[in-house]
Amino acid sequence: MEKDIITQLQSLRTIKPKESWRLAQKEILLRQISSAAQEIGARRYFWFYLKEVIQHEAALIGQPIVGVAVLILLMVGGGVFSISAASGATPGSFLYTVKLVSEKTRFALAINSEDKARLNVKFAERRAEEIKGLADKDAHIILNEVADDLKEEIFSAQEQLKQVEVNNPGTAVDLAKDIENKTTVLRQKLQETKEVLAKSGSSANSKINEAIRSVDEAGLSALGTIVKSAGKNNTVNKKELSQRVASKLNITKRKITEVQEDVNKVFSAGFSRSESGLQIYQAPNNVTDIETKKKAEAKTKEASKIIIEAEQLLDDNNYQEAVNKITASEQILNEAAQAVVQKIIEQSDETISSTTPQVKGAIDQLGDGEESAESASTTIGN
Amino acid sequence: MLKSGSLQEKILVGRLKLKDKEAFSHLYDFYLDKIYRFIYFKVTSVSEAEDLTSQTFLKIWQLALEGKIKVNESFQSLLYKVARNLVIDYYRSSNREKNKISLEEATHIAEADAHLDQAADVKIEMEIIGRRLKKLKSEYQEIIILHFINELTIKEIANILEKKRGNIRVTLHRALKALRDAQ
Repeated sequence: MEKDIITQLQSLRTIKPKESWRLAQKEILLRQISSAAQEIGARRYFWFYLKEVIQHEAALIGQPIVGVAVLILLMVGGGVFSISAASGATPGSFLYTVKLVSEKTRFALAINSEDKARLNVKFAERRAEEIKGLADKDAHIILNEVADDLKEEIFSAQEQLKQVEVNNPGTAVDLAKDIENKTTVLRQKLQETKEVLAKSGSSANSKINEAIRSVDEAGLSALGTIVKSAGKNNTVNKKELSQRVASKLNITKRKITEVQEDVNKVFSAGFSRSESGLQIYQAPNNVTDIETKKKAEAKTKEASKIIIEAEQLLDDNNYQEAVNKITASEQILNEAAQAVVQKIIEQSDETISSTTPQVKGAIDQLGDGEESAESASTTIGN
Repeated sequence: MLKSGSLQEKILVGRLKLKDKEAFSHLYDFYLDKIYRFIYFKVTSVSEAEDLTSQTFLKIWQLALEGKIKVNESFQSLLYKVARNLVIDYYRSSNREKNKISLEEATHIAEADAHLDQAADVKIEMEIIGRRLKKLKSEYQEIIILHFINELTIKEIANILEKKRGNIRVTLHRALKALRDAQ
């Protein structure tokens, strides 16, 4: 009987304030207090906690374990100043490691998934800035590593958002909006870097493409969260929702065009200038290449067809299905893009394995016309 | 996940003491449901429960501005004490009749995804126990809410109500008996 009554009492734990009130009230409260609120820097925290320890735990400092704790606090405090110095460090420098460690520490100390996701996005933005700097300096090996770090941060943000969606759906929409907005800016920045790298014909471009794909995936996932939430309550208005979905749809359409162009370029004979000199694209002269090209073309066509369906769904205000279609289109498009990347890797391997005189000879044979490209590539292949 | 009395909470309280809005926001998110539940069973309507819950957090911010929040003291206890005093003031100032909250309002519950029939059974059970809880005298009511619903330990409750642990144990035992007897 007693156990039963306790179980019944425990069921009252589900009593909660209304979600709409919770959000509105939080906003009102934060607005009310903001005039007196202050921005707190790391240094101020350090001195504050040191003061607190001395004030309240002075008698304990004599004890060994507390002494060690205070020592650690002082070391961490020292760390605060080092971190502040490291905040502007660039990849490859010693202080950059300090910067990464401080980021990991901040992430580990973050209170909840929402904070962790926001930190992930913030760190991804830093990585994008660093990538831009590295592209200008032609430091492409380090650039690849930083691009991998960016992908990890974005993936983690995506995972944290999923957790927030489950544990705290009320805040998930705001977080999803923030992630969606920031991934759009992030994509733009990476796209600019990609263009800089394309001019120099760098192989690092494929890494940037991978990073852009991760960013797009996270943005699309965040949009999915926004749309799902809009279906349940009215936290997002229709106009905003429509704009967000349309923007994602346009990005996918642009990507389809880009991949179509890449397929035509990479699987056709031709040549272009790159950082390693004149590069020769081999024509699809074997069965495997022809098959791969056909498959890639079929996939871009399929992605294109799905995106048209998404457009129609968007016109009918069926946002959820439109987002599902965009996601499906992106997935198919990624398979086509993967085939292009694979081919580029094969071509660069072949170019490296060819000896310089053979390439030179091939270039001599090429002349100006495209007709001779096929015979030129055969010479290289031999 | 934040825990009451944890180092993370102390860091947040430290930041709150320094008038950090973000820390206030985190503490609000963590304690809102608990404080709301605590007040909910003591007032006559949802809107009053909402109003007093907001006032509790605003009062906490005022205490932070006045430098009256101490990092080495339990923040949870402070919150409940503030909420409790606000409820007392609310009854003193308005001469309201206690615990007349309607059952429709009392079962404003975050719906589970469970099957509808099952959810309906749970709702009825909750209505019954909620009604019985509201019939108890204030002292019993708050001790049951704090211990069985908001999951506070005897030590934490003793700290909030400023009583000895033995006293809390005895009161809790009596409160449970009164709840069983309430019709």
